[in-house]
Amino acid sequence: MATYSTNEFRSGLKVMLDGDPANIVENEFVKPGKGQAFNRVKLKNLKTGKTIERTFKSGESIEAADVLELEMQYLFSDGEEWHFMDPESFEQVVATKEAVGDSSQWLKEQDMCQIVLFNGNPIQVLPPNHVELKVVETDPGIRGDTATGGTKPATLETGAVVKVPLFIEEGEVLRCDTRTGEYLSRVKN
Amino acid sequence: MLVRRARLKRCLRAALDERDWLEIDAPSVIDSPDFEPNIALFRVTLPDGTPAGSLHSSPELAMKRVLAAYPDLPGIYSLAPVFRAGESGPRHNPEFGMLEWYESGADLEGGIETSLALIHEACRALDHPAPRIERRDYGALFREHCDLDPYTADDEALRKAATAAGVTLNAPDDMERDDWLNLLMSVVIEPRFDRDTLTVVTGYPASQAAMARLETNEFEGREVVVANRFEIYGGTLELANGYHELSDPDEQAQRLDATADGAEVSPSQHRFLAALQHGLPDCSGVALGMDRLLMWLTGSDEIDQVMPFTTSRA
Repeated sequence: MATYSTNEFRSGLKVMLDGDPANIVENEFVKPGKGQAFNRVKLKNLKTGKTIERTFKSGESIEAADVLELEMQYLFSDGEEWHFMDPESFEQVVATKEAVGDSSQWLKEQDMCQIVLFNGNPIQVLPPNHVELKVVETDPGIRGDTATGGTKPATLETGAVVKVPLFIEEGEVLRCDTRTGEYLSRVKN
Repeated sequence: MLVRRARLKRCLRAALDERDWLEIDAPSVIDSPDFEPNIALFRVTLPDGTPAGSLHSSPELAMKRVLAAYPDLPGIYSLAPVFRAGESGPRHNPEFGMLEWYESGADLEGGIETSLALIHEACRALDHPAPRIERRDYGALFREHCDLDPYTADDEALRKAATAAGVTLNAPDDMERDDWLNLLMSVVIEPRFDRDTLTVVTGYPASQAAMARLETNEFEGREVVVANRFEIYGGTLELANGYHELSDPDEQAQRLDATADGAEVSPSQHRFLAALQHGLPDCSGVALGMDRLLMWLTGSDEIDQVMPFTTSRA
């Protein structure tokens, strides 16, 4: 079983902590001149997304997590399970509601997503940073009112609701940032 | 920064030379680990793989031998790189500059006085305003910030204080008592020191004495045995560590045995013990981290801001 010693700790390293895979976010070396050295580490639990603080005596080892990050294509969902495919091997995986989480509102069929696999099962699904989605519902646009900077909610085809300028109409395709949930621009046909 | 670095070294050498102290060249390659259980050494090997010793983490043993051989010297110093394997971080680099000195006839207070005088010289040389100085007792600091008595608190109480401060150990059962104390000092107490103040801490527990004499101190109305040791912090940065040096050869040999963990006494350690047997003059010894001092004087948060070549970009 692979392990990492504290001197291999760096951000991005995937390790097992309390039985769950976790990602090292921050690693700080602390040592009084005459005393024991410590690594104060911030980790993110990859299942729950929670940030954990943990202090290690320098020299301790921790088990490596069998975690793989893959680019996979989103195929379809039945509302309970989300199906993805590796476009090269055509291998398919199924993600649970828990693993997909809030990402589901951005997932459009055919889009490429970042999938985190733990022991072969998806535990995290990240949509592309930028997506292009059609507006399916919004209040009627107000022509000519582009200067006031006002916004209104618009529901997109995947379920996400974003704030858009008043001139946006149903049926238009918008470019959005999935990390911030913000509208970026209209996509010209 | 290169200019300030050079100016700092020049000013410290000038201040010590003015006192008629001698600069000593201690050997960088030594035959053995020294007396520090918590410091890992770089091993040196010959091209054919034969072990040839280690890079020193402090010039201490050689310098004390010089002082034992020439007890009439008023003081000796070394300003040179030392090496500590694995110490890398915002405040650590495995190779760093150390000013280490031994002052004949000085006790703990003498060591503190000389240290503060040198830091004042450095402030002047780098146009840094004269800092406020605060004296703090180790026991009182733990009472104030962790609400415990560091001389008697058991492991459980120390663990609870760490938990209360949001520090969770991955393997709490592997922690020795001094590990807990060092951890609390590093992550709870030190960060609260005032940035512009030089904080002088005394009253370290006897278990953290290393090469220091012991003395009796009063804490909360009773007597406790403490190390004759001080640390100086520039803001939250540990800058210097000093002792009223142990000169009793039997006591020193005993402490060496206790930290050696079964390893044999090496030839250079024998020579060091023989020098103590011959007689080490009453002296204080101080080690001051040059790069840390420069960090504090220039308001730098990371050591690589003040070092032209950290190990990772050497």
